[in-house]
Amino acid sequence: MSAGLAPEGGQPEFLRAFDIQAGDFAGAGNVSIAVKNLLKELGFAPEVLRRAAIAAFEAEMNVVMYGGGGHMEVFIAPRAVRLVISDHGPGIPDLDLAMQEGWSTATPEMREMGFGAGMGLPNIKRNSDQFQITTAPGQGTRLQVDIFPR
Amino acid sequence: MAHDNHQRGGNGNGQDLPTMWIDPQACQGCVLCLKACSAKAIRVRGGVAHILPQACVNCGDCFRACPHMAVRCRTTPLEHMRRFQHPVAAASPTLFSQFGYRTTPNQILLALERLGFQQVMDMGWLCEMNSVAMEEYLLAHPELRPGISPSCPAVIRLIAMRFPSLLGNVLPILPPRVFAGKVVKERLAQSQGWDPRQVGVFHIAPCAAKMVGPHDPVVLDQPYVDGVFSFREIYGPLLQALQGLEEDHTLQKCSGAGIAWAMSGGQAAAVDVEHTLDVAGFDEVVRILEMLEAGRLRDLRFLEAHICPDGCLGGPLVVENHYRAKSVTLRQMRRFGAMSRVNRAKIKQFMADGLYDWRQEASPRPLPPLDPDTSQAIAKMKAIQSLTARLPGIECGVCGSPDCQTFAEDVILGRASEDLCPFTYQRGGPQPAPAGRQTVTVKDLVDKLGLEVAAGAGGLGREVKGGYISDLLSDVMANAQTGAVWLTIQAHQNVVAVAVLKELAAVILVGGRAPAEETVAKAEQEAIPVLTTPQGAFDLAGRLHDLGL
Ligand SMILES: Nc1ncnc2c1ncn2[C@@H]1O[C@H](COP(=O)(O)OP(=O)(O)O)[C@@H](O)[C@H]1O
Ligand SMILES: [Mg+2]
Repeated sequence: MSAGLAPEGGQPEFLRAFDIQAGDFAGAGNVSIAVKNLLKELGFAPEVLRRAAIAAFEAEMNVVMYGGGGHMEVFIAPRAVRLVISDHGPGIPDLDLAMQEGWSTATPEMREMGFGAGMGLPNIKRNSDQFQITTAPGQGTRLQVDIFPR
Repeated sequence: MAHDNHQRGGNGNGQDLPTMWIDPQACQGCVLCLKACSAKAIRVRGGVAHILPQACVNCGDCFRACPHMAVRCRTTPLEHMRRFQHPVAAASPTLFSQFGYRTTPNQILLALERLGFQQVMDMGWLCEMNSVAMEEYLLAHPELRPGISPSCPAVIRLIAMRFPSLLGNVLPILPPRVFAGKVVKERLAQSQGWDPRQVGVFHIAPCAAKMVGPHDPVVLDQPYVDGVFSFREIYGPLLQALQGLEEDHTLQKCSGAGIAWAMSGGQAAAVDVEHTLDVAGFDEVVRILEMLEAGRLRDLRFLEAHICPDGCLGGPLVVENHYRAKSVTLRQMRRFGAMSRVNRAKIKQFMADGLYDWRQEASPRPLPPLDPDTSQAIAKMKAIQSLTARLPGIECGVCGSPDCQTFAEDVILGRASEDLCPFTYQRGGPQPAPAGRQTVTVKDLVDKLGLEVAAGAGGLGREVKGGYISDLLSDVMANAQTGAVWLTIQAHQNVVAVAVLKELAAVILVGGRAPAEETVAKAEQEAIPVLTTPQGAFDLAGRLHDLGL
């Protein structure tokens, strides 16, 4: 496992990975749903499921829309859920700007479908207990989201 | 069509009693129902299919799939209307679609009257009223997004089990069938001077999911509906009653707006709020509920969801082909017009009077996690993943579980043994049965001794290792051997608990005793076969001995 603080819930172990297809709007959300069902089967509290679902969905959509496809990995410990979402897309040139609420490069078509509110990254951060993002132009984007049951 | 001795099911003990059950005598042990079940609630064990009550939503897909008529619906026998001095019919408006283009709703309602119902409710009309009530509720609660129609009990059950966070979205407006019962018992009975205990309200339904009882997560603390008659059973008598019918009075009040409730989309068209959505069919409903739970579809105000394809006219107990039923419904909608004559002020008054109120909220019934302890659950999930990877993935169902993934779960959770898979079996080399000893299963006893299976068919594959006769529970707890069949006259539910704790093979109720309803429910849940026989314990023990036990 790559850099990052060991979360207080114990070092998470790899459980499963899911592919995310670029531009697949029809199937978009399926990975988040599968991840949520997985956590449900493991008996995590509704509060954890809710936060994980929001973070997973926003991250999945960003990979579908901007990241050119990638994958989501689920790591798990009894008192921690870690989602790692990565792609090999264009990366985010100005991260501070991207983290601001309301900032978006979504196309008119994407906006027509209800995306592009510029709330995705801020919402992921808000719903996680630890959040890391690694990105550079041409280097892809990697998000690490840790959620600890409260 | 076969019936259980079950009428009301409302024993109030919260036990799950599925409205479908599988007759072990008729079941061929094939994989058709196993494969048809979207809820993955069926297992074939010991050559017999059985339903896991805690996972079943009563969608009826197993009933549709079985070519051997082994899947039975627990509906109420028609004779039960004679148990009441004042039987009342409340037939789903889907009934209007079952007799072709020429037969009008009014004629069908009159024919019901001819069958001996003292009062025949025009449920098309009550459905129209219900659309207004749901709309008023939505307008008064703009924060509710979306309100979900409570009309399909299988959908409500699905929500309670798999989407408990959406239960708060279910509109707290009594669905038409329950409303009908309430109005009859709280208003009509009084005005007619009927003894309320002598009033029996019967819903006539295209599915068994509407069977009232504790399996309905929307438990009402007072049974307003006394039974559910199946379309299939009432169809013949109705056809006869329609012959030479004189149309001398009018019972029909509904317009096309009420008739449309038979189809998916009928409610969404009538409930006049911005952004409505109708969805039908198990997998499609799951998909939409998943989207809702993921926080999508935020603009939606009203959701109409049916477990059956096309809505109620696709119900498992309909008689008419559902495409033709749809054609008839569309014709009737045109003929009677979409303009509803429901008086909105009156509905508002009913709502203010609490006539539409639930007595109790629907309660969540989430599927249990793999283990209550998260570390254990993680370990089990890993074990399931590694076993799944070793399975062939051809989803043949030969093991008796619906697919490889579910089989792996069953194995890790101790509900199946790994060698049931013909492929892992081959790889490991066949394991010959221990020589010199013939194993006897519960099913063998049923076949050879002509015993009746009253419940718990899921456990017919259990091996029988001996027998024990006693009517004292503590004696059995202290002395019975694992794998024994227990011969007793005790028919109450604690018998099943003892059988589970002592890991007995089966319970045989001797001397013609029948199990209590709670016993049946518990036995189904635990897959402990409860067998009955008119023979006495002594005679039966002799015959068991002859079989080598
Ligand atoms: N995986 C990614 N790859 C490239 N760019 C991204 C990625 N995720 C986000 N972005 C950029 O960051 C912006 C803000 O993202 P977000 O907060 O999710 O809002 P939105 O998706 O509504 O635009 C996006 O418009 C996009 O320009
Ligand atoms: Mg986004």
